[in-house]
Parts: sequence; structure tokens; C-alpha cells
Amino acid sequence: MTGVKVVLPGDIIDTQQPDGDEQAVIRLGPGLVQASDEVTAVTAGILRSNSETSQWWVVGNKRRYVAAEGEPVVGVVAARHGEGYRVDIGSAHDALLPLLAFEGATKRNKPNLAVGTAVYARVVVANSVMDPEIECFNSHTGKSEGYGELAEGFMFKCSLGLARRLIDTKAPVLAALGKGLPFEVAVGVNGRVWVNAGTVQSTILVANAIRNSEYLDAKQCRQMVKELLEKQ
Amino acid sequence: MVAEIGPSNIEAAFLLEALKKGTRVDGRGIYDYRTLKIACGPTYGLAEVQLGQTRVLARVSCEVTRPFPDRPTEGIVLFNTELSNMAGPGLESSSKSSTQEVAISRMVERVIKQSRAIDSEALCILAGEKVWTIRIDIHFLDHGGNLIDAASIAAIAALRHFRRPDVTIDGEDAIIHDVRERNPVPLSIHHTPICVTFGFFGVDGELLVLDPSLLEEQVQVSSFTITLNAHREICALNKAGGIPLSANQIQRCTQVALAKVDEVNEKIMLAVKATTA
Amino acid sequence: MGRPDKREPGQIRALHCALGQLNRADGSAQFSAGNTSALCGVYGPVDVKVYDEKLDRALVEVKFRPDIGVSATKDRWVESAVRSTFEREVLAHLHPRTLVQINIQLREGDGSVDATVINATTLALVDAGIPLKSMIAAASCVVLADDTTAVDPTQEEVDAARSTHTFAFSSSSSTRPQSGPVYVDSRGDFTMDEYNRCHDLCAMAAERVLAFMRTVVEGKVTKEALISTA
Repeated sequence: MTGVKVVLPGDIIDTQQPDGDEQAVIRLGPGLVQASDEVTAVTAGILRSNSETSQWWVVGNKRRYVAAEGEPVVGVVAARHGEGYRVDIGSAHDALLPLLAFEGATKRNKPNLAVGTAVYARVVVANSVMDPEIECFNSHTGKSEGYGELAEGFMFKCSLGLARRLIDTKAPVLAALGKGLPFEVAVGVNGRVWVNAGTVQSTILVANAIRNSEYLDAKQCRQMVKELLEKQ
Repeated sequence: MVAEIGPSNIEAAFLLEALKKGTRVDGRGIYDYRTLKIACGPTYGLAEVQLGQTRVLARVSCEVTRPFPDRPTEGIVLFNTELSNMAGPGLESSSKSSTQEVAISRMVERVIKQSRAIDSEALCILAGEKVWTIRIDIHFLDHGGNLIDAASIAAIAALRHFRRPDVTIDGEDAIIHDVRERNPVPLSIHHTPICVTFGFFGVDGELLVLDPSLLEEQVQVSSFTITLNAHREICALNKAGGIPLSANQIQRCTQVALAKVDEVNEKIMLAVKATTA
Repeated sequence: MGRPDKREPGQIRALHCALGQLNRADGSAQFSAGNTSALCGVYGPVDVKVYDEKLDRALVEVKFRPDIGVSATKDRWVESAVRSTFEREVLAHLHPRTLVQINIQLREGDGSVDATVINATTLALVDAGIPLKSMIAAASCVVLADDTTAVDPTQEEVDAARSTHTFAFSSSSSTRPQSGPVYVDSRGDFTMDEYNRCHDLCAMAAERVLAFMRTVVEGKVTKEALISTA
């Protein structure tokens, strides 16, 4: 990685590619806005760009989730309404989960979730003027694809940055744990992680290992997991 | 701002299942305190306590005032605790937490004031004329569970760390020396009451833990706080509501608390010494 | 006559900062200049009461608590200083119908409280990832009885001052110098010349504070970036 570029709010970004076309349309992602004829950063983080698609964005860490379409989240049912559930996904507004947004759900046969039930779902509607909407299945295929009620196991919170790293299948802490014991994990990019490793002890071990990995690099992760597994 | 909703059903169920096996979800044993850190200073009377993810700041200050007419030879101790949104979202507005706030404030105030931890007669400068008013402000910074214990530790550490300006009496006049002129003096403290809180779980409260975390507080069916000083005397007991507990359990808690109070007192002494020596 | 702590007139006290110490808040910063120290915790964007909801932008709410006693009128003044400074800096239109809540706890006040509070707030907002137009850095300056000026005064100097001035500058005003300060608070008797001297001293001090803030935030961001790419 050559020269990590850290930007702070108010920094003017030079989006000119060395050999680029001056007229090229650039696309701004999270953390950047256009003000008059300049592009400025509005959050702190690492500046990233993709020269092929002319996309620019800022990668930073946060703890408060802002819903975005297509992202997997772990939510907790807060209330039930006539047409669906109101689910807390950690964002400013509760998300709506329609009663029929489950695999195989029909008007006569649909899951009945109690308040406090944890669900793994995907955000389907997210914009700044409407409350977000989530689904526990893929509406194109009608299959659950792993989404739905999280019935057993344990759930905990972490930073949104760690959650995104965990979703990456190469996350060192998950790889190291996977070599030591079997477990299931569902990561919500809203900073909530659900784990189940069969027994209470193993589940606590997995949860603590993931929480500890927040500020550890790959090598330290492997060492930490090794020590935890040995203690067991 | 709306308060965060309580824990999910799986968190509560898992916590109970783990407790039945004698383990806690954060990996602690049932009689383990979270890591306790006490930092005093730089100013006299400032102490910050970190108990796991719970943070409490205590600030002791003083001023010269007139005594109450019915107690002309006693100084005044004022207490202020406020549970604000700083410590957690929605703590300030919701009615549920205001009862919690009152419970915490009363408990800590009772422990310090009514157990006569501070020698109030030593705060008298001129009988009926001038006394010291000692003010204890407790600020809750981060609510990770068990605010009572953290607040009582912070208050005692701040009181032990505090120094008031020295005074000399010349006939009817009292001269208050600037701290740069003459070394300020510590308060006269009779004893140091420390709160130790337990949380109870299960149908009959048969499972118990020491120093409940926020998640444990949200799931517990009852709680019990015992306040002890370094002389192994009980200064206060508090069990407000929740399910009834057996006398045996109270005795068990007392035994555990006795050991913990010694550890905590030692930590307070070290923290105070490190910054005032 | 020198300063009680032997600083140069334009010299600020040692700065110290810790980001993200608080667990419940979405972002937090503790900022200290010498003994003056403030802790700021930010929540946002979070749910807002229907009564306070703004349809086109986020509501920015500020709560300030003093180190000693309950909050009084002078503390409301600090709240309004922070609110008016940051209402224009937070890109509130990006998160309509939400609340950005700024909670500030003064840990200790030994002069330059309003400047320290503003600096803590900037860093807490950055830590929380709230979109901002720019970074804001503030500094205070006093004019003493002998007409000398002293930047980042202690309480002792504030008490002895003829006039006190606090200025906040935006990080984008270093590239556009004509834009001037984003917040000014001046009290006491002073001449235009004294005001200008204080402005210039505070501008230089704010530059140093900004450079310090940049180091702090870069340190945190780089640490996280190295982990994710290792």
C-alpha cells in the first residue's frame, strides 16, 4: 500500500488523475461532497479511489449506523403493527419488516415474532426521507438465503468498522477461530454480531475473541485466539 | 431522544444459561469485579473512576458560608448527582431512568452523609459565624452498569484527595490562607464507606453476581447493595424492590463484600497517594 | 511583567486529547489545555422527538454541564456558543428528521473554558463521523491591566484581565483567509487595536490547535487502517 492518505473534514481533495481526462465524470461516495467547484471531505478517514470507475470515497470508523440499501443488519423486534414489525437496527429510525417478507410466508401462514426477537435481515429501502425497510428473504428468489430469526446463541455490539472487516470472509479472527472450533456467525454492518458455537463456553469464547480483535492486526489476532483456545 | 430498548430475548436467555453454568457473558467469574481504575488530580478533589466500561467523575470543592442556625458548630456537606445523557442515550428524559437516578443519588448521598463519613465539626471555622461548605459533585460519564459502586468509590477517592485552604484564627477573625501561601490541609474523614452491589437472577433469585454489567442489570430480577467501611462495619444496606431474597443470601453477600472492600480501599489509598505525596 | 506560569504572551498551554474513550456515546473526545479539561460525547444521527423534528435537516442540540454545581445562566451561554458555532458546520441536511446531540462535561475550568469546549466538540463530532464542513479550532486571549496580551489565559489571568476574547476559526479559513473567524466573543473594555492584536494571536494559536487535532485524528485513522489492511 503506497502512502495512506488521511483526510479530515474541510480538506480539499485533488481528484485529478495524473494521466486523466479533465472532463471525466467523477463519482463521490461516502465522506465526500462537492462545494462550488471543489470536492471536500466531510468525515475523517482514509481517502480511497478506483481509477477505472472514477469513484472516490472516504473509509472511516463509526458507531452509529445509517441504513444503506442491500446491507445485512442484525435487528431486534421493538413492536408489532398491523402490516409488519418495527425493528430496531441501531439507526436513527426503526426499520419496517413486513409480515410477508419471510421465506414461504403467506397471508395465512407467517412467522409470529415476539418483541425482543433478534432477526438477520437485509435493508431494501433506505433514504433520508423515509424510514428504512428490511426483508428476511430475497424477494427475487423467495429464498431465505440465511436471513431470518436468530433463535439461539448470543448477540453483542461492536464498531461499524470491525463489523465491515468481519463481513470480509478473510477476517483473520474468524479464520483463526474456525480452525479451533465450529461456530455460526451472522454479522450486521450495523455493528451487531450474532454468534452460536453450540455450548455456552464456546459461544462466550468466540464473542470475546471477536470483541478483542477490534485493535489487533492479523498476527495478533491469531495469537489471541490461540491463547483463548488453550485456556479453554 | 428515545432510550435504547432493552436487551434482545437471546441475550437475556443466553446470560441466564451461562449463569446456571457459573460463567458470565463477559468471561468473568460470578464474584469478580470488573477492572477498577482510579485516577486523582491534577486539581485537589478530582477523581475519576473507571469500572469496566462504567466511568464516573467526582469533584469536591469548598467555600466559606454561614452555618445553619441550629447547628452553629458544624460544617455543611452538599451533594449533587445528575444522570445525564452523557452516560447513555435517553437517560435524561425517560421516566424510568429518573427513578433510577433518584435511587442512585439517594444511595450515594446516604452513604457519605448519613454515615457521617466526613467530620463536620472539623469544618467549623468560627462557631455560628463561618464554616466550610463541602460540595461533592458526581458526574456520570459512561453507563456500563453498577453506577452506585463506581460513584461511591469516586466520591471517597475525591474526598480523600481533596485539600482545603488552611485557616488561622486570630481572636474574632479568621484568616484564610491562599493555597500558594500555605499548604492546604486534608479533610478529617472518620471512615470510608464503600458500596458493593450484587445482582440476582433466576425464578427465586438463586443465581447471583457481583458488580453487574449493564446487560446484567437489565436482566436481573433483584439487586442488593451493601455498604461497608475499612473497619468491617456495615454502614448501609439497600434492597429496593425486586423479588424477595433469603437471609442466607444476604449473609453470603456480606462475606464476599468484606473481601472486596479491602481491595477497593487499598486501590483508593494508592491512587490518592500517587498524586498527593 | 511576565505571566504567572512563565509562558510567552503567544504561547498556549500543553494540549492533550483522547478520542473515543466513552463506550455508550457514538463519538467522544477529551480535550485539555493545561489544567482546563472538557469531555464531549456525541450521539447522532439518532431519533428525535416528533415535537423537535426538522423535516429538512438534523437538529443540533447542545448540553453543557459545569464541573462544580448545577448548570446556571453562564453555562447556557457556553451552550449557545457551541450551538451557534456548530449548527453551521454540521451538514445537517444529510440526515433530515434526526438529532445530533452534543453533551459536554467540564472536568476542570482553569481559564479558556469556551475555547477548550469548542475544541473538544470538534474532535467528538469527528470521532462520531458526523459530516462537517470543516474542522473548528478556538483560542482565547486576554488584555491585562498593563495593556499586555496573553493567549490561552489561566483563570488567574482571566480574573485580572481588562478584556477577554475568544475566537474560533474554521480549517478552511487557512485556505481562504478572507473568511475570518466563525465565532467571536469579546467582553470588557478594549480598543480596536487591542481587539486586532487578540484576533491575530488567537488565529496563530488556533493554527497550532488545528495542527494538533490533525495529528490526533490521523493517528487514530492510521491505526485502524493498518489493522484492516494487515
